[in-house]
Amino acid sequence: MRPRGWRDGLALAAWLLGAAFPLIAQTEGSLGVGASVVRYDGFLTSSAFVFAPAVRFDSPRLSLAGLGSWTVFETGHGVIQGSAAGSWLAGSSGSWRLELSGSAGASQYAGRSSAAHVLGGARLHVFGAGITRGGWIGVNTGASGETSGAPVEVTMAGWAMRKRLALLGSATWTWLGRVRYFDLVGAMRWTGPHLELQASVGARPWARDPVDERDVVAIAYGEISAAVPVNRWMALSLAGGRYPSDPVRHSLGAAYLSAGLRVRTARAAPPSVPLQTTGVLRGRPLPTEKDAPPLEVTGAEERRILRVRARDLASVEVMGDFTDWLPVKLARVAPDRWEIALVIPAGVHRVTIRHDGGPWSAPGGTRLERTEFGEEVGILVVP
Amino acid sequence: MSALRLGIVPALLLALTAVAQGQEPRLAGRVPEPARTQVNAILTAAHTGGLPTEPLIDRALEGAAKGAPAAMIVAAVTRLRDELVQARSAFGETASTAELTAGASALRAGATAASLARLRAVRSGKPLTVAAAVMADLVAAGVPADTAVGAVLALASDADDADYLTFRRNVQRDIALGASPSAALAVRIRAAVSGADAAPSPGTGQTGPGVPRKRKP
Repeated sequence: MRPRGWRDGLALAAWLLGAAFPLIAQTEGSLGVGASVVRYDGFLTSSAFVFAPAVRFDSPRLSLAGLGSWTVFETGHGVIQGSAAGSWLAGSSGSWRLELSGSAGASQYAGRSSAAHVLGGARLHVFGAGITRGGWIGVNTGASGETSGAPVEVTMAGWAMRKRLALLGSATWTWLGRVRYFDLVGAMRWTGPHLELQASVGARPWARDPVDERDVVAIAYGEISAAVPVNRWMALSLAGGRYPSDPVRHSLGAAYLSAGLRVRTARAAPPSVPLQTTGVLRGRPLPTEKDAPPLEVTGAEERRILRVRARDLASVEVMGDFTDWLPVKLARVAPDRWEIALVIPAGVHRVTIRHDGGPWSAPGGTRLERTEFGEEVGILVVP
Repeated sequence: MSALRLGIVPALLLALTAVAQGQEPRLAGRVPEPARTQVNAILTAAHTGGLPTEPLIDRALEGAAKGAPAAMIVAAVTRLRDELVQARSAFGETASTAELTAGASALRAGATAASLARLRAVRSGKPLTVAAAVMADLVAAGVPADTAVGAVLALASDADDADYLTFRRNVQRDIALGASPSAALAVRIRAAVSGADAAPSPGTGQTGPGVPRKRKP
């Protein structure tokens, strides 16, 4: 699966159940390249180049998939992502079947910011006559990066298939710490001899994000994509639309338009293969300031207050020329604020910071300088 | 005499004695030999020559904190001493420790001693620390050294420290938004000289300080 989100996972699961769980085991590798124009929430529009290898294995009961991607924006910043997912379908028991699944993903933005998630889930499926319609209820949970507390996603969905057309509707409730939201999604796929169309519309009619910590808001969204097989090894794709943020998987919301080419090992294109050139854009382009919160300095020389605003940290330490290069711990004065009072004369200072005992690095808001000692320090100007 | 003062005076005397003897006490136990002996010799010479020793001590401690080998620590302290000498040559004998440190930082970033001397001449009687630091920041942000020096000098006669910091912030924002460093500097220097540095950035439609602006990923 691609690192896009559970709602896509739901859709993919429906396609798998309805059409793609093969009668024999088969493995496929593919390589996608594409170009996109994307506007992430909170960012300006940027062009991007995407390079995305993928591999998947399908058998009647087991499906495994891995995907890597490298996205380069016009600023030169890049997102590197990797994800893996597996799904196992238990034996039939009348109209009911149990599916167990797991997924993990990690991404790094601009060589500095990183995020990861590990999720596991279970779904209980019910099938109608002839396996042309069905539904499920499922729960998904695990760990999501630095977030304290496990995310929980609960989904109810129904689907139907008519020859070349498949329809899906789902409702998903998500809890992630104090952030909560609800999504409604309707999706369709039409598979013709020379064209595959996918489209979805969705709405997040309710979202609660008490302090905008995850930038989750109520929103309507939709996407459409088309894939045209050139031959049995190659397909062209075109896609566009808007998708919402997925804080569980560290994916920002965005609007995009993309075109790409996918080359795969020899087998007919299965209907469940997503358009990777659009999906892999959904990495989280973390701004440096967000990952390395700015070091604020206030007060007069005799008592400067060094302040860092950051959540979900156990400790914050600074070390610089004004501490004789000895680590000093900041005190947590509020859930998202760390401070220490120090004597710092006006001038140009060299400083480093670390969070939770991790590596020392330059704080946000400072100029980076590569030192003779092989590391970076932040150059801080105190007027 | 308070107990506090009774404690501080002997400590200061000890420290002064140590420095006079060429032994910086803060290096003991932190900077490995033979680097400590060599750094102490550099400090003694710097003190004799009227250079500030505090930045040199800090650099040695920085190397020690990062576990650098002795030779690397000595090389770093030596390089900084040379930069301080250049900065003092440009800024004059009366320059403060903060000004010399900022000048040394600007030299390392790519400014020249001649440009620092011009800055001193244009800002006669005014503090140089922030102006020199902004010069270094602009060069580090990708502005060609000559252009950065020219911009800082263009503001030198009238700008105070706050003006320089605002100017730097706006240039860095424009660069982050996708403008080329030279173009960002040109736009901002025109705005600053004309007294309208809160003008919109090219293509953003948003105004200056206080208004959050978007950038490209």
